[in-house]
Amino acid sequence: MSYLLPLGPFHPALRSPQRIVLRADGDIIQDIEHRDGYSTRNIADRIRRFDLARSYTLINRICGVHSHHHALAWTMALEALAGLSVPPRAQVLRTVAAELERAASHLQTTAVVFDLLGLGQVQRQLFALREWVLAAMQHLTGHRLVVDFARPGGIQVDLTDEERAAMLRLVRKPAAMLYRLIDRTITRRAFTRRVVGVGTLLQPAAETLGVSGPVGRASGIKRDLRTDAPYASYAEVKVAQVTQTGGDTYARIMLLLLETFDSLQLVQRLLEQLPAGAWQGQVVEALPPGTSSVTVEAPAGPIRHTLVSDGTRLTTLQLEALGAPHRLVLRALLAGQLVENAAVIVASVGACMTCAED
Amino acid sequence: MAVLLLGLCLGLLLVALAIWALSGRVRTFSLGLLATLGLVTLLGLPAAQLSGHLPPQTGFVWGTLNDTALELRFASDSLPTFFSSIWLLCAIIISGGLASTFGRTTRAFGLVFAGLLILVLGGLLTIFSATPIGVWLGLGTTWMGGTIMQQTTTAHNREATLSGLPILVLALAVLVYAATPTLAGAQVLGGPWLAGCALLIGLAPRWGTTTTAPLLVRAPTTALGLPLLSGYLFVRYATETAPTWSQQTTAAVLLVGVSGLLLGAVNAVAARRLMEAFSGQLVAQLALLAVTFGTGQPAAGPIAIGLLAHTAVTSTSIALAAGQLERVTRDDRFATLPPLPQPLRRAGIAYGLAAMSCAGLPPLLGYALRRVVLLLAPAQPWLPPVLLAGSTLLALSYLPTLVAFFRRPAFRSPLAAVEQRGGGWPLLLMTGLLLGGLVPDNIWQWILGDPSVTGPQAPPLAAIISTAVTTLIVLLAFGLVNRALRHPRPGVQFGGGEPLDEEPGWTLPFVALRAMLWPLVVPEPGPLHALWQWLARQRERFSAPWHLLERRYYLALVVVSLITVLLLAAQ
Repeated sequence: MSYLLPLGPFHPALRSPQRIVLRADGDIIQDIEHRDGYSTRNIADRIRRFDLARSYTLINRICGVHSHHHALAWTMALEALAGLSVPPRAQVLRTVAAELERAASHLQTTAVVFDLLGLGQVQRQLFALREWVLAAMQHLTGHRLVVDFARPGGIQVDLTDEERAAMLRLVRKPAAMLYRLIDRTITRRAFTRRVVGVGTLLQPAAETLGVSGPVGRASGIKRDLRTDAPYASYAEVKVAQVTQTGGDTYARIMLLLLETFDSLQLVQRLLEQLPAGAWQGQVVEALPPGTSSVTVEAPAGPIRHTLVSDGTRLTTLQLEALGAPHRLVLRALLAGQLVENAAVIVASVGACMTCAED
Repeated sequence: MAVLLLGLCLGLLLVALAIWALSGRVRTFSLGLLATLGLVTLLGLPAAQLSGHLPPQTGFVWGTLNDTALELRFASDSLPTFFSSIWLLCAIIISGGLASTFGRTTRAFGLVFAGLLILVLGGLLTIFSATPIGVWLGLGTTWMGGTIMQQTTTAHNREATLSGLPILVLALAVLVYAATPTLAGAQVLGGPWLAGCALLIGLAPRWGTTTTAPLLVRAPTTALGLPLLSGYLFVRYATETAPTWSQQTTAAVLLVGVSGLLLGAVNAVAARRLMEAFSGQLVAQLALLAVTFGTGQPAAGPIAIGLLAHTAVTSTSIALAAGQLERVTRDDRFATLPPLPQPLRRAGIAYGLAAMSCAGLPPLLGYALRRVVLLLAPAQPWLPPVLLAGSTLLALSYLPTLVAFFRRPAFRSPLAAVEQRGGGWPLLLMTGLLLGGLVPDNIWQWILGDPSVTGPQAPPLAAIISTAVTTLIVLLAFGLVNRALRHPRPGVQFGGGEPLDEEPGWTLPFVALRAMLWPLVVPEPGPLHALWQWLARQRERFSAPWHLLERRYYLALVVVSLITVLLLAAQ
């Protein structure tokens, strides 16, 4: 018997409001309908009417989870237009903030999946690790989530030596704990039997549907802007290219956990070799005419900010979240799957549309 | 013949419905193969005509409307047979390419292939119909198939709305039907028809919109859909009526053709997106049809048929190749197309060959066709230089996309790799163009069908080879000069973000050319710009009611339409 089953607009598996209607026959999902647009705030339109000083506040609030990456892309685009250079210390600290945000985002995604799988103990451990990471972020920026850290030509606040030492201690511990957690979890039967071969998206389909970011890397698409077109300080540190080929929920979870581990390692290395020198950014109030476009690798996939200035104000701002899982990806992931696995599959792709719906 | 065609069409419709019904249960790859098989079966139609099993024309009265008999009449002479063969071949290649790109495990995308089959069904009705009502029905069905494909492959529901373009096509078709009982009698509509085609196929602002539907999916709707069918209808109409045209009509057609060629080429050069460039190039290609008939020569018919087939093949190849580029880069703007970790060699070569043929470079079929068009115009001494200028601009417009297939980043990623799957499909089509370029005389004989009729004088093989060598030397020299003038691009270091957008990767002459030509396309303010604005407003006005047909509601429309068609056919 065919029936419809709604998932959302609000559901623990969804990181932002969206509506997924599952069309199921028995316990097999036949097709889905997906409706987005619940988070549209017209930020790109509103920013054009703001002066630049006020725009930073709004840019940092496009997405609560990926706030720093939006600010980073925006700031880099402004710097490209204004011809500003960034001192090495500020570049390194921006990269540290980006990796901490990546770790926190990945830990949140995996924790939700384990919660939906009924593995509450692992979920609590992952959330505890996330708290350590957010505490480190608070040491660096003064905020846990909406960090408001990047400024054209530098950063908002510097890190003292004492804070750096405290941050290193804060980051080393979750890295070691995460390693043990991954080691214990990947062979747990209660975990593997619900995720191996579930929600598979193989590489050809992923390429066709334009999947990028961690979901694409879990399907074998070896692309990561941090290594393909390095920005900030990524060319100075070795970023481990984590990829999986399975394309299933297991591959996605493993990829997120391994990338989290690598992010924490990166943060340690960057803090240990933090250069001294200038760091302070400035509020740019006037821009020369021109266009600039910057793409950064956010935790959920690439984010692109394109700015056009006529010399007096911004005439165009285009925000694109290339990694946001859209309805084609969700259809490919969910069709043919068991209804009981739908929430787990959706959670494993970190279905956040906030970045895409400016 | 009518029974055979209707039987095949109904069979195709049933296959489409079956694919639709099985979409969630059967793998998309299998459904794609089934659709491809169905399309291969349709090749039996032109084969039956070639073997003499079909009468040249047949038809039946379908019903009555306001006491007027609605007659569906089908013609199976050499033009529809030849064009339908090429058209079906392109559709088969697209269907096979699409099936392979979805992978072996994906489900629930069967509607893409159902849409493709419906599009083909509409195309066949348009191609074989000898009465305007059939053409109207065919164009509507083609639009419906294309819409289903686009609806199924848009990533966000806010993009899944219908464009105003098909509405304009249908309005034009209704206008033709209302004004004339037969195609041949539509002489008074020749001018508006041409202008309408030029507007519809490229100048309408539809092309300026962004959509996340992969270009690979848009290929059948653009390369094989309404624009190409409009070109075919024009060729059919002009073949029947050109001998009776007055001198003024012929001159007007020539003027429209030359304007379309130049405008399309300039538009393509000034384009900032892949799709804009593609539409400009398509306009220029189709405008050559009008140029051919505008010369007023008796040989214009066969040449136009050759040009039409050439446009179908090259557009399909370009759409398939550019689709792969768009899919890999996730971008369609020239300014921001990122470098590829690995060059897309097969797709790039196919794109390059198609571009060469479109620009009229040897040894491809496009060269032979362009040469005979030039030979046709002894009475218009101004035409060859204008055509050469248009072809040069057209050739330049292909360069940005071509470079993007092979551009490598300054920083080489240790692990990054690009999936090369699907690049071989357009290459398959290019083999035909290469063969056609080397033995053009045999192609003329095949088009004409009758060995006793002499076709246009194609250039000899020695001339083709010598011109090819000369062109190669010129291109190499041009490339060397460009290399010397190339911007010194800053390395990818962390000096405050990516470098300022300077149309990266393109050479100085190209940027300068674009800057010089852009005011010609969109003067501020000017009549063309005003027309563009007006079209944009019309599109908004037309598309608003269609928001009601989002998602599942448009499926209801499709079902109702299909039931209506079946009931009328049964009547």
